[in-house]
Formats: sequence, C-alpha cells, structure tokens
Amino acid sequence: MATEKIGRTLLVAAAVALGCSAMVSLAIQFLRPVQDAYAQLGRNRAVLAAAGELPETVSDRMVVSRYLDLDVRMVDMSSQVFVDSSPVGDARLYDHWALGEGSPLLLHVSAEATSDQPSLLPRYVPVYLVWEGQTLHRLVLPIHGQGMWSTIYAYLALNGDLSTVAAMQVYRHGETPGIGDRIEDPKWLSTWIGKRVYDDTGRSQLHVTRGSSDSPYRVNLITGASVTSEALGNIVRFWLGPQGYGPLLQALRGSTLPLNPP
Amino acid sequence: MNYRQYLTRPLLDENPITVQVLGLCSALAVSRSLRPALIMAASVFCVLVFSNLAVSLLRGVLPRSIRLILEVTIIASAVIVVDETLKAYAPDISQVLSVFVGLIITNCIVLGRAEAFAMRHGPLESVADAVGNGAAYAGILLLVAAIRETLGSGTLLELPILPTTASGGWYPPNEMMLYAPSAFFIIGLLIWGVAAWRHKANRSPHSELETQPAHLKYQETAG
Repeated sequence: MATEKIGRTLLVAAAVALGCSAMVSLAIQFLRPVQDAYAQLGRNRAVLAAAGELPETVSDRMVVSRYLDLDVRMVDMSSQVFVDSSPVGDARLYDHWALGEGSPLLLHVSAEATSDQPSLLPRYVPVYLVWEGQTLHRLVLPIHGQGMWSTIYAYLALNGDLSTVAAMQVYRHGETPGIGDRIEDPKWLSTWIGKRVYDDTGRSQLHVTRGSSDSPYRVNLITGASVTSEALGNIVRFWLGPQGYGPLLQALRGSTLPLNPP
Repeated sequence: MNYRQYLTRPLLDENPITVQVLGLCSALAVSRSLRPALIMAASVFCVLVFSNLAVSLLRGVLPRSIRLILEVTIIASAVIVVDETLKAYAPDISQVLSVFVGLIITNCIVLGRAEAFAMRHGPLESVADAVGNGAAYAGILLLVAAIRETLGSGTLLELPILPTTASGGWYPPNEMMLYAPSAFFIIGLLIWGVAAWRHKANRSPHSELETQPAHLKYQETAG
C-alpha cells in the first residue's frame, strides 16, 4: 500500500462527511412532515385521554374528529382570562409548546422560589372543556416544566369542581428509558385521580413525595424514578399556582368569570 | 467462494450471533416480542446492506489510517436515516425500540462485515455477504423473540396462541421470558446446539476440516 498523503486523507474524510450529512439532511427533510403529523396525532390522543374521551380502540381518524369536537378556549396568561380571538389563530390547531426561543408570544414571569420552573411562559395557551349538559365535567390544562433531563409535557384534567384531579396524562418527555419514563405508567398516573390540588386557603399544594399517599395532597413517588416523578409534582404545583392557572381557576370557582357551554 | 456461499454460509456455519457471538446486546434487548424484533431485524438488515455496499464502493479511496472512522460515519448516517424513517412511519414501535435503533451503530456485526469483508471485496459480493449476515441476524432475533413472546405472553404478533390463565385459558405465562435474562438462556442454548451440531458434522469423515476464515480474527465479541 502506498504511503498516504495528508492532503488526500483530509479530502476523502471531508468528502465522506459531506456525502453522509447530505444524505441525512435530505432524509430528515422528506420525513419531517410525516413525523409532524404523527406528533399532532399523539397530542390529540393525549388531550382526549386526559378529557376521558378516548375509547380503548379507536382509529386515527376518530381521534382527530373527536379532538376537533372538543370545546377549546384560549387562555391569555398575562390577564388570566379566556379570550375569543387571539393572534395565533385557531385554538384547536395552535401548539403553544412549539414556540421557538425569542418568540414574541412568550411571556416573562418572575421566577420566585420555584426557580426550576420556566421563567418564560407562552402568552396564549389552549385549554379544553368537557361538558355534561350544562355543567362543566372536566377541564384539561396543558402543563410543562423541567424533569430530570428534559422538559416534561403533560395534560392535567381537573374535575368540574376545579380543585380535584380527574386525570393525569404525560404527553412527551426525554427522561431515561426504562426508569424515568415510568411516569407514563397508567397505573401510577391513576393514583393522581381524586387528589386535591388546593388546600383550604387556596394554595397550590399537591406534592409527589415518599410514603403517605393517604393524604389528599400527596401522590406517592415512583421508587427508582423519584427525581422525575417529584418533578412532575413541582410542575403541577407551579402551573396551578399564581403564575400558572391559579387566578383563572379561582375566578372560575368564584363565578366571577362566567363560563357557559358552547 | 461464489455468491451463493456468501449468502448461505452466515446462516449456520458463520452465523454472526451463534458462532461469532456478535450483536448480542440488541438480540437480548429487543427480543421480548415479535413485532418490534421484526422491525429491528429489518433495520439492521438495511443498515448492513447499505454500509457494506458503500464501504465496498469506497474501499479504493478510503485512507487506511482513518478507514474505521469513515466506516463508522457511513454506518451512523445510515442508522440515523433508518431511525428517522421509523419515527415517521412506525412511531409506536420506534418508541418501544427507543435507543436500540440508534445503538445499531455499535452493533459489531455491521462494523465487522464492513471492515472484514467489504474492505476486501467488490460491491456485489459485499451486498451478498450483507444479505446473508442480515438474514442470519434476523433469523436468530426472530426465533428468540417468537419463543419469548409465545412463552412469556402466550401470544405471537399479539395474536393469542396459548390461552393464558388471565383470560380464562390453561396456560400460566412464564414471566421470566419477559425479562432480558431469558434471552441469555435461549441464545445460550442456541449457541450450544449449533456448536454441538457443527462438532458432530466436522467429525464425520466426509466433511472438510473446519478452518476459521482469516477475516474472522479481526472481529471482537464486545457488541
């Protein structure tokens, strides 16, 4: 074998790297629309599951049509009221989690004691209402925040009383496969059902802690995935607190904000 | 050797899993049920064929000093494309397989064939070799997955085969089959069986003396 010239070695290395990256970028470019469609479907599914409207076997088409049937309201997080029209268009299609950094639709909130929670919140957030006749049956709230390694995105459904948990649904996360991803376990998520999110003084009080899951304000953490499951508790507490949906829910409970079926 | 031998030798005599003991991690991890194993086998197959073909075509220009790096670059690119394709068209299975599709990069079978075979053979021979080895890997993976799913869940491709006691049948599922160690046992038994069979075949007066092909010496048993 002839001795190798450095120039040629570098040239071949660059050519192979260029060829490979071109192949990867092209593939991703072509596949992105399909992946996005599936991501949208997954989000619809998660919302429906939290709303209690997802039957066990259901076609993709049914998921979409049932999702579009939901009563969606847009919440303006700066004034904590429902808004009829917002600059982001159709609330059913709007994904407030897809906002890029530096988007004008992000809102600065003063980070207090909960420093591990987002200091930038989306200005407009879609929430989903499930009606039973004239009374509110469930309110599905999107929540997100820092897990152990990644941002956890989830849907929390409250009962019509707006102070007990109806369902908890983890939508997306990047926690450790096989360990942190046990927060998706339906068995564990079902232990959230019926927990109280506010104490008598109206403070957001739901915690994920070790032991004593008898308390209405406590969810037992997952052994082996304690950091991730505790983080989910922190996220819920933050989003139901004063910087999240707290004021909105208080107004709705106190009927100072009128709420009527569509 | 002719093309037919390149295709058939890996299936038994030079099987990458049972004889060369390569690619075990994924064989252990994704063999719990048949459907993800099918997708995994297809993914490894595609990566193997692509990398063998690409390396074989480039074997004249790849500088010796950095050939391994370039081989891994080619393999890694193919794996990313396969991973993204799965995320687009089989998102559920992609989630089950999670990191193991990405880990095909470190599957010793792929780098082993690229380095030991494709670097010294033409494109057609290399593709034949990749097809043979891919099929051999798939065969073992699917066999292990079929055994584990049948005994562990009483189903095959999620269709009930053995009626489990939970659903009113007579078969109490063997839960151990759902955990990785059971794959160790099954693959161990397979390796034993194949080794015993080869031993017996080699002692018969008509067979040629078995000699390990020289290129096998390059392969490691870490993946």
